[in-house]
Amino acid sequence: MTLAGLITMILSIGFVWGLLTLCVCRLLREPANAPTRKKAKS
Amino acid sequence: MPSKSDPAPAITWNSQLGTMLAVAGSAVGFGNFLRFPGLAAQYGGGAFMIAYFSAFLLLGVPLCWVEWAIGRRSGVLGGHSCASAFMLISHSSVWKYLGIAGVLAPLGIGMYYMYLEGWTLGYCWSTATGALNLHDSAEFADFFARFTGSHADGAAYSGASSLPYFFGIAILANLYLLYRGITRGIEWFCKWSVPVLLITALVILVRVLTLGTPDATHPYRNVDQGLGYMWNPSKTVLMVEGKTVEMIPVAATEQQASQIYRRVQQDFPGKQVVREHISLIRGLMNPDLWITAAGQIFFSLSIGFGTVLTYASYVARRKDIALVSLTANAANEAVEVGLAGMMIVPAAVSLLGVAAAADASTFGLGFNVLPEVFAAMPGGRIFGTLFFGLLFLAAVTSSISILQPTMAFLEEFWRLTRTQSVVMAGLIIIVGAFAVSWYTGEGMMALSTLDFWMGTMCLYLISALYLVLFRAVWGTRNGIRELGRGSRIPLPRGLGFVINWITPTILLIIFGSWLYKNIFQSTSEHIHNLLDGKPGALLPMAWMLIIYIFMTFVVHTSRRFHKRPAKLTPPTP
Repeated sequence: MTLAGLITMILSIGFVWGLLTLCVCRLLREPANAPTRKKAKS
Repeated sequence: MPSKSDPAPAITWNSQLGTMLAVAGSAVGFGNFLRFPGLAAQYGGGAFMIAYFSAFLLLGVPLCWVEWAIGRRSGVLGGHSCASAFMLISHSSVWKYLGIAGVLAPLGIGMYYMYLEGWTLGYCWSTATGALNLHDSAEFADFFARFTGSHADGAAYSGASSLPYFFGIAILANLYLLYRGITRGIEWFCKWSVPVLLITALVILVRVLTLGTPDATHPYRNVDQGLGYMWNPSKTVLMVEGKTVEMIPVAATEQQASQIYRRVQQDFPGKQVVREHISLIRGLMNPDLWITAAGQIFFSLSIGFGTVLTYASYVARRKDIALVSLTANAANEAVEVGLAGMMIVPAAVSLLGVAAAADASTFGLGFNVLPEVFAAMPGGRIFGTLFFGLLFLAAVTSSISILQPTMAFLEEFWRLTRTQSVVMAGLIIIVGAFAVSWYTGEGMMALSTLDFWMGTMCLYLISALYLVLFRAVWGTRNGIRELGRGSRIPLPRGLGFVINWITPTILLIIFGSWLYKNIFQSTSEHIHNLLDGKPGALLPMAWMLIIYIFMTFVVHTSRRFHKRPAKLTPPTP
């Protein structure tokens, strides 16, 4: 395997796994527009 | 429009993770594990990956978003199949007849997909029991012919093959999961099967990467050579009659290269051995490479199958669809590039040599080359069983999604209950699948006919219809607003431009080149087979025509969606 081949492989696999990791992290995070509990009226 | 008295309650997914896994499971299938590695290696890793990722970003992701937006909007308005979705968004009855194609195509694909599931299950069983512990390529080819009955029509039912049993199990498993419904069937199954699939693939990957040089008498057959053949942007290959038979290792001296050349000449006496250099620039200048890469993205992401539209229609109105779609696409790519790309070709090259991995067709690689690879691999019986089990899971997660549009169609247009829909869809599928499994002679004629017309041509047409509907009828701005509702990621600024101009252009080019290749350059054998009236081609297509007429009748006489729906209110941001 050449250095160019190794770089191609790392970039390709890094791109897809990186994209997946970013998406899953974002998906598992609490949604930004989630309804928040209203403060009790004093 | 759905009303409060509507007998069909709104069904939604239980969780976003479940939705994502179901869509990813739907996209991950044979193409990921068997088609992609062969293509990437054939066109020389680097150049192919540039074209592949360009197509992913400019064709795959935008088209999936288009399908998700149409599907979710349609679901909100009470439609879950392509036919109802097209009508509800266009306000035109003509579109519901056009939308029948989006129900018919996945049904046709499902007919041969279940047959292929029978193959994978049978190979899983045969590997586990040791029946596939054979010695040379001829024996594996003979096993394949006997098991699938590929040497003559009806041979699979002559009693010599166990395929009908596995085929029956595959059909029953699919129908049972469909009967359980969206959340208790599809979502439940994908929630455990997709992680199991990923873990199994990782286990096999570790085994493949630790193979080293399995046979000391063939020092160039090793994992490094396999990875090089798959990923090197520039490589020198030896070809005989247009087929790659060997690769000159990068570290080889001119003397070693000459030795390899002479050995290949001895292996193919009397035939001319051509030494060819594949380079990155030369690869990128090859239009075939771009068209093939775009085509792989198109089929790999299940674009135009109608399944994403149906799945999206079960997403609640204010839930995110943009991120879920992107995550499902990324999961599909991670399996295809990150796992299959590292696994299949290196295994075949290190155990059988470059000739075995090169130019193998999807089925050739999966059911002739790989069983031989596992037979030669230490511990291959366990890993072979795991691999075919993995393929079976990947195929089932795809086939249940392929049948869901038909279920939705029958439930909404014919007002059938889920049980009635399962029975009806089951009958349609069994008749078609039986024809596919019977007419196996002349290169699996029934299977390849359905794959040509339903699995290729119809998908291009449906995707074109999606784009026309999204852009010209609904309006790109409205569609993007729908996509952005509840989105947990910001949508790219130039998305409208890409959907309006870039995506249709790429789609037009790959569809145009496919038409040119199969109709104008030389008339495809599938067209000849139909014109010659061969039963293997004619009967499955006649069955599809009967189903099409039946569906048109159902749509025409259905009291649901028979009037023009009220004008859509503009979505609130």
